[in-house]
Amino acid sequence: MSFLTVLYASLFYFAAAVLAAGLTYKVVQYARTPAPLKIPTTPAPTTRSGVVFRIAREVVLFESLFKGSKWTWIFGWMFHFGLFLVLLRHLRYFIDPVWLPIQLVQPFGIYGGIAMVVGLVGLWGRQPLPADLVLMLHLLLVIGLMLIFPFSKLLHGPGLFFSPTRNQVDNPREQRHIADWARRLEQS
Amino acid sequence: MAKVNFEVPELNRYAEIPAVTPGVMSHSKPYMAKSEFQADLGFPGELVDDWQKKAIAKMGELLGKYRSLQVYLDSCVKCGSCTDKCHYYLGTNDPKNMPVGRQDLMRKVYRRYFTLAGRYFPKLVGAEDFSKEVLDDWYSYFHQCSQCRRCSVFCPYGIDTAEISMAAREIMDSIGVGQKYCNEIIGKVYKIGNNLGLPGPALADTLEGLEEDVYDETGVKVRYPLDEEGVEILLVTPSADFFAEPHVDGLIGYGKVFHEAGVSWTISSYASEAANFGMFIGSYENMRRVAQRIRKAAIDLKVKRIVFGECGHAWRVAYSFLNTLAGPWDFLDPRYPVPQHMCEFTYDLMKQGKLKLDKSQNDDMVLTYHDSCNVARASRMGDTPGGQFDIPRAIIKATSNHFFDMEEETIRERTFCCGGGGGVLTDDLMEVRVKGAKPRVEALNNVMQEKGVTHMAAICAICKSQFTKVLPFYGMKMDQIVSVHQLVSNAIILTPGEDDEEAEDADEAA
Repeated sequence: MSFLTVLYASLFYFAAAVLAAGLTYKVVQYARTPAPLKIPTTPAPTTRSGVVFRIAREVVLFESLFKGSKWTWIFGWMFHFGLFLVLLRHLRYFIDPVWLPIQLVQPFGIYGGIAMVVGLVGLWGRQPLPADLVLMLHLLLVIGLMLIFPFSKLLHGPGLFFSPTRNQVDNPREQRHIADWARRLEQS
Repeated sequence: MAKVNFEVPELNRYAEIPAVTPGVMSHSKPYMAKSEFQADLGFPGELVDDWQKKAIAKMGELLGKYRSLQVYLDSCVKCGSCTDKCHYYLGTNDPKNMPVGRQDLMRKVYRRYFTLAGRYFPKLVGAEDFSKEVLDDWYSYFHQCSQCRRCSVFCPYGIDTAEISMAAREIMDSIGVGQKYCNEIIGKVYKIGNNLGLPGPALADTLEGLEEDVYDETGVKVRYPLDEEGVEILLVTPSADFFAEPHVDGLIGYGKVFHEAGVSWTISSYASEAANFGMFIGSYENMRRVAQRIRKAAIDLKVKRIVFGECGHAWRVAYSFLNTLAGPWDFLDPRYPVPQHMCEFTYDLMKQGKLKLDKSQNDDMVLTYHDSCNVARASRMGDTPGGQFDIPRAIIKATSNHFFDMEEETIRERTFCCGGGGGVLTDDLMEVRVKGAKPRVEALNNVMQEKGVTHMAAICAICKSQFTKVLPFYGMKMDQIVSVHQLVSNAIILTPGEDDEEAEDADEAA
């Protein structure tokens, strides 16, 4: 097992490094790319705090998905909330002593796991996919997930925070909004 | 009504989500722009030699300029929330008219050239080379998007297909594949000042005619001035308002409202167009060039305020982009927002009790209201979010006795596009226009059957033109679509000017 232990440990460090570096790269890329025009999907909040509240509703409640498709919303929300609980529960493997909130969440993590699987099955019901193996496979999948996160549609997570239709304040008449590359057009 | 070689969809009581029929709309392509029109806009005249390389380079440039494009091409998880939200999908059954299907036409190319996975494992992630077939698909399906943003309401990440179709058109223009309708119209704005190519003298004639008509009908001298310096308000309105029905009835209404407000105003022959098709083709430079004409007109005519007439995408460009494209507006009167919508102006006046309205003048109509997509989902009116829904309705209710909304799923932020927006309003796309109108016409038909609605009011020149043309395909009458300010015009009780017997300057004396 010691070879496997070393292998898995190295893989995890590698995957964690790729995840951190890749995500940082993408987030910096999003943050640096200008949004030259005001394009919030209206009706939109007219204040910064309103925008924070809008994004919070999207992140926590999946508000737009709720409007769009109730079935996808039910399973999608179950999956993500379950994943959230499971991740919290797994923190106990990485911290010592284990923080109190993480201790308290332990019993719920199990239900989170169930919710995740139910949610995933519900979502996969629309596009069949294989499932189910043991710990090695589980860990391998986690490694895989961490590796592909920065290069795939998993970027929807950070992406939402940078979505101009969701994160912009609706105040174009009150405040002039202009990107650097667009300002250069004015000087010519 | 023109001869048709396609089947007009049947209207149902309850909206149905159709089963997909792949490729049924791939034949639909608008006419290409001729090279001389491309040149006016700074685009190559025909497909350039190494078009693939240049298109990919352009895509790279846009990815660096527009965060929306970069984030939206990365973020889609194929959740399916958007699939049944596009009126073109609902009307044509073509899966490439699902928002996600349309986006994927670009996303597969993006993945191939701009992502690690797509470069090395293209099959695994659905990445594809930018082949001639893909380009043909682009030309076809990115011109079946009216950029109405309905999909963006339902996407959990706010992905807006309009951003993607705009970028696609910009990329195609950059390699010489332009759409005739949009690009020729933008050329006309540069040469003549408006989309319809109406020169100054023709405008002067038209406006003079309107003054005579209104005087004959009401006995009150209402002015419709052109190029008058030093007045308070510059009115920027879609050029369709100068002659087409029911648009012109709206313009007559604006003049009457200004008359009652006692403010001086003018139209500019140089900026005689509210529309800005630069947005449709995703070209910041062209959109800016068109918008700058309004700035120049405002400076030259020394006005203090800018008011926009009834036009959907024009109001998006005006409300959301004008400050960016042609601001700052520090030389205008800071007491008013720049620009203002005509509906905001009329509504303010109504609230101050300065408009005398006789609702019974519109008793021959039972009305409903069509929220135009760009007004609904890309702009605002008044001080609070949603004012763009409430203010036009308040005006309709103040000017008529019979008003019923269409089903909630089809109005306000969920409104269905007329089917002609975003550069689709051209006869060579008639099949797309008729089929894309289906969800809206279905909802209209329901309130006609159940509430006895006879007319639908709108505040968009494209919507008005589109419905005028398309309603007859569904067995309805072209004049069932009316302007909101047409209702105002009918209901308003004009105050005769003191000098109504004299020849001129009624307004400026007031």
